[in-house]
Amino acid sequence: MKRGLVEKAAMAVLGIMAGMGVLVLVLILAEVFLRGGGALDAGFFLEESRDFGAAGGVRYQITGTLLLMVGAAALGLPLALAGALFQTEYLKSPGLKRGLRLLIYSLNGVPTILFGLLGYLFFGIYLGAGVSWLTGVLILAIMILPTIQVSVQEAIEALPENYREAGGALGLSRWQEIRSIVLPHSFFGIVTGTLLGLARAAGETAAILFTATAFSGARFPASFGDPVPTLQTHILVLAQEAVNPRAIEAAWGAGCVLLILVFSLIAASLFFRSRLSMEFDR
Amino acid sequence: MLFKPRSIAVFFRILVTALALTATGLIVLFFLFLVKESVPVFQAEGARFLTGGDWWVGESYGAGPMIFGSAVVTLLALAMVLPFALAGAVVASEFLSPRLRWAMKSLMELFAGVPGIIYGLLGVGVLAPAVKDFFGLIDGNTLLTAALLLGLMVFPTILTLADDALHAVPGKYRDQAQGLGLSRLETVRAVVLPQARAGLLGAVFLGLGRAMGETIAVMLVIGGRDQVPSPWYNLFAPGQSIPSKLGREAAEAVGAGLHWNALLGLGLVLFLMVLGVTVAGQLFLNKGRAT
Amino acid sequence: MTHAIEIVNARVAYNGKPVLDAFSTRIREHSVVAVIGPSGTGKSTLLRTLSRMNDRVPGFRVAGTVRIGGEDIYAKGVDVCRLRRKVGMIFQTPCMFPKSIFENVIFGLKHQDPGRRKEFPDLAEKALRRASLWNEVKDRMHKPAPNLSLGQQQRLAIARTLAVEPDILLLDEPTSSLDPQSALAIEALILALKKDHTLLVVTHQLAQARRVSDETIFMEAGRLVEAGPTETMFSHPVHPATRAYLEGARDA
Ligand SMILES: Nc1ncnc2c1ncn2[C@@H]1O[C@H](COP(=O)(O)OP(=O)(O)OP(=O)(O)O)[C@@H](O)[C@H]1O
Ligand SMILES: [Mg+2]
Repeated sequence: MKRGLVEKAAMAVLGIMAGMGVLVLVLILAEVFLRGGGALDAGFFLEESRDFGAAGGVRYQITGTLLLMVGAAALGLPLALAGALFQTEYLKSPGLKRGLRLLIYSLNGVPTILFGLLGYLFFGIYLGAGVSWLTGVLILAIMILPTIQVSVQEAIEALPENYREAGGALGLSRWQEIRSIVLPHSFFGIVTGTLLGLARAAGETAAILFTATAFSGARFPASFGDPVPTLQTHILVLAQEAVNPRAIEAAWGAGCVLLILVFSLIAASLFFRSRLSMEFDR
Repeated sequence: MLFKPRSIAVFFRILVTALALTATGLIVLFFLFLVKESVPVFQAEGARFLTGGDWWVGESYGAGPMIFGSAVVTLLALAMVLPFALAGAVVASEFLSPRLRWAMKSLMELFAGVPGIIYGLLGVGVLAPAVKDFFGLIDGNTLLTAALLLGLMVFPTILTLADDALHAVPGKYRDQAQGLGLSRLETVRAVVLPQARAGLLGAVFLGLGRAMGETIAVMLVIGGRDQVPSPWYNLFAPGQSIPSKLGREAAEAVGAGLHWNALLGLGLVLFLMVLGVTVAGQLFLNKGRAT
Repeated sequence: MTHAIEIVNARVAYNGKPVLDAFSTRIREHSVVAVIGPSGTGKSTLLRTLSRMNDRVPGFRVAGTVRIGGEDIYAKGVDVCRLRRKVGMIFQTPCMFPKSIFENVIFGLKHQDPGRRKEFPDLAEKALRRASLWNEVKDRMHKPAPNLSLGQQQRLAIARTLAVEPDILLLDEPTSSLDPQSALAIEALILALKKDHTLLVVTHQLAQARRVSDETIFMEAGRLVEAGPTETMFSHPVHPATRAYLEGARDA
């Protein structure tokens, strides 16, 4: 009897702790929508920012964030695909395979500010790209490379060996096998990885702060060499310096927009991942 | 009749290899740069760079307070969040129905992707004022505030990874234990947790790595003072972590002599700390998966 | 006269551990050869060695000579893909790609001869007829292949291999995951295919070996113990080990 009671009490404690953790997180994130929701009207999306964020909207901040993340994914995806295929299809030595795998997984944890610092040093200074959209895209592409590659690689590795054998037994070359078996079957993994990469690039602030963005004076970039304004830097500057309540509300509004963008990307990736896991257990 | 080379296949192979090696090479190059560029500050300051307490641009560069701040803030964050995250993982993995577990994991995945700048905004707008009022401080930007915020940030990451580790323990062990008359909770404690130990450690280490590198959110609420508080355990004092220091000063120091080298030296220290923790975490995770 | 398959003193190892040793045999064209022997003796390894399916297994090594149609298949510069089109392989459980029946039949063909796209429907029909599957699937060619019964899937796997026109067919326990009815269908198919192909069939069912094969190879622990005409071997096994296996397996 006593044992049952202890069990129940312990369960209750566990449940409460778990629930509290989740609840606090939900509430605090809901706060973003509570404070910023009011700022979201058509003008907020369509007008450009004026009066140090106190008036107008975040039109060019949105385009800037989109430009950076799309550029990064467009560059990062082919690199990640090549990396994954190289490791799963072409690399023979198991030791090297394990080493490269560990490198990619560990890269996922490298602080983003370091990508910013080093990327700026390399692309911005050594290669002369300066503080620009291009530098930001290059840095973000390398930053999200491991995110995409891990997802692609896991999808490829989940491909049952007998599919490859069936292909190989029919005389398919390695390249034909990749084209007709490996890539079609890891399609959802590629989509998932790309979406997660996009989400990561969309939310990144530290790596682009002093390498690709400008707070004022920048609009839609005329060339690769121009900096762009972004939602992230907009929020950062307003959070640090704004005193006008209207500007502060605009910061929360920009936060809402950013959060919605990132959530949609991740939700889409979750959807595609569930498709991926259904693929093989019919 | 069996012999003939195929050109597309060869071309594709070369393309893939070249791209993969370019990316890998670039990454390796990056970190060689990091080492190369931080050499001058180690030459100028020697070991004092790591232990010294004064950071006066143009005079001396001591990273002590930043290293201290990083360590305190991340460890504190982890200590605060771990009980909750582990409880959440146990509940999700052992007691929720598959559908609820899926819902919970999806939610966590969503939250794990929330950008640092959003947490930063919440820190400035909600948490720092709350800390200030609650403890009656003059300024809400303290080491404690940063740790609280970081804890919130890594909660979903640790929960999901820990849940994966618990879930990887095969069902047969649970059946066996329950067949011997253990209750569900006793089963968790006696069978599941010990089996999942490597994976759980992996989760903790990866969470730690993530917390260590967070820049923007911490930068906004840590206070930004380059000093070890006195007494050192005074968590209500402002401080500085390595990434927050980098985030604040990188823009003004870019390429400018020893100051820039000193920042990259800090970056190197951070990199080594995070790398150690992340590699350890990965190895634990792999070990957990293999069993 | 060249043999379809000729193995001379082959030694095959995984990570230094020999699985086939001092293995020599010759197989005539247009014959059906059964390979029998206890589990783990290296029967599958033998088949996989003949189409180089183990190339990607790390630590896999082959010494000695393996000739298919007179050519050394482990010589430098051999195009493995061409080899595999000449030497088709059927596995224990058929592996259907999640595509239509038609797409599955022409899967190998499509990559071998993309230029003949127009002829694919005819070629698919021909292959399916030869695998005695045509009548069962002709009305549902564009339905997903994984929905077929296991027996039908196995015949589809054979049709898919026949479509690339191999000289030799290697079948590794092709009926062990099938019901008796489907198994008999496959056996009939093997006998019919003998006219144009050389077939090597691994099986644990001795009665099956007896029904379909002209010759039988008995192996044990990686070595060829006895080989010869099937009827002779089953009625008068020479080697004591063969006799023991045939008797033991019969009792079981
Ligand atoms: N990929 C591999 N790596 C290492 N050893 C292997 C591998 N494949 C097979 N072996 C070993 O080689 C030996 C022969 O295996 P093989 O599959 O050829 O036997 P078999 O005669 O086909 O058995 P069965 O009748 O059970 O199918 C076994 O001891 C097996 O453990
Ligand atoms: Mg076998």
